[in-house]
Amino acid sequence: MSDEIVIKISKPGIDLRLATRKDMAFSIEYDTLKIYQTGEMSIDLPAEILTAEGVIRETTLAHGLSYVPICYPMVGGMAYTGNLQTGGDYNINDLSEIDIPGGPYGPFDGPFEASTFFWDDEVIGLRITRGVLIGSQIYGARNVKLFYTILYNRLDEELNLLN
Amino acid sequence: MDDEIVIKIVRPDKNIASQDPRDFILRTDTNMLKILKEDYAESSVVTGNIFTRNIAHGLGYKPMVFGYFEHPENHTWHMTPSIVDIPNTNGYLGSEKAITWGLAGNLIHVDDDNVQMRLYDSIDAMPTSPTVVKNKAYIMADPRSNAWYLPGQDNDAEQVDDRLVLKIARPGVDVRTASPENLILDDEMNIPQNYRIVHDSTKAGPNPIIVPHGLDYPPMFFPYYRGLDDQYWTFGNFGYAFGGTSRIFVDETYVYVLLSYSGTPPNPVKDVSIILMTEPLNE
Repeated sequence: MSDEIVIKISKPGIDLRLATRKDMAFSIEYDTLKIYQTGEMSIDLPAEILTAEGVIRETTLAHGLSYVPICYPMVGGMAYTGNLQTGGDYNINDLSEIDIPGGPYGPFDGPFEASTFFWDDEVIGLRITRGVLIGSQIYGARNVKLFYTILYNRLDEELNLLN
Repeated sequence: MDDEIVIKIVRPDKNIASQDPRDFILRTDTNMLKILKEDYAESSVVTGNIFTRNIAHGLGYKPMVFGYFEHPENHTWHMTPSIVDIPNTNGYLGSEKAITWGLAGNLIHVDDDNVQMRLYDSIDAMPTSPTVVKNKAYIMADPRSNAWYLPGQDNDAEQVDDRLVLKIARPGVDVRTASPENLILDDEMNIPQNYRIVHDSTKAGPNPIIVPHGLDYPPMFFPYYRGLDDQYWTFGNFGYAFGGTSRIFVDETYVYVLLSYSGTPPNPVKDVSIILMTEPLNE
């Protein structure tokens, strides 16, 4: 008989004795997603006119972990689809709320303003790219903000707790 | 003197005295992501129309949310926001997983109390309309903003919860009155648990990465890739950077990573990591 202590919580309405893996609300057999830090980053974008060019602005912040953590949210080249000239301050987390079929990652065949949240083993960063492939575009001044969450869990490793 | 009682559950191969937070499955002085509500549906999507399904959570703030949908033609599950397009799964995955029409999905906040699943048959219309599309929304108790690491608010609910329940509140917060975002453990909320990380650093190649995930159902997953400036990691299905196609997804047996990319610029991906959870997407 195993003398290991096992802690399990089944989902409401499910008999713990009969519960399978997917019926568990919590089990010590698996890892959890532990929050290390939450916060916000922002970039002040100036009013400007761009002609057939791209401009990158970014800010970074040391996260204090010496490894690559799991982070949220999903912001990888996410396009702002408000009015590039007259649009005001916005929260990047809200960009995922832009409607489909255009979607938050709309095609970049015209003037654009796109956000990317990135990180490595030292810093997290927010990058805003404004660009015009053909012709000119007037861009307005605005503040762009992002709420982020950093976990303690390491991202760049192989892990398998099934065995 | 700190007289807070801290409950710790350490991983089997680690020491309880460890100072490394990663060694613990649970620590009551550390917040964890918590699922307040799971909402699964089989939705009837009509071609050319954006299907919408409202899901109430009643939190009074915008929580972290994660949405998933299945392409019914090849039974692959994709994380929102996502577009599943024909070039993705024709050719790379062979005829068995080929699709003939596109599907897009998004999960949006309607307001502080409701989210909405949105599905659309994309540019290449579905051949049979309507078509049933399986989809699932996870609504976390955790706010998407940085509420947890602001000072905790005690007595933040008017009604005392005196039911027989298992609850652990964050330090400094009365567990009897704590609102969802201030709870570390609650038997009414699921703790999303990761059982596996599939990590591949073989760089972009001509063939997809197809790895058995070890379960007999499609698991909740979080896709990540490293490619920005050849250095940085980003959360998402990395095809988005090139205009919007899902390239990391799962089905009942495998995790798929479509690294091969024939467009311009060439695929810059250096590493991928897929976090696999025990939560099933298909129920």
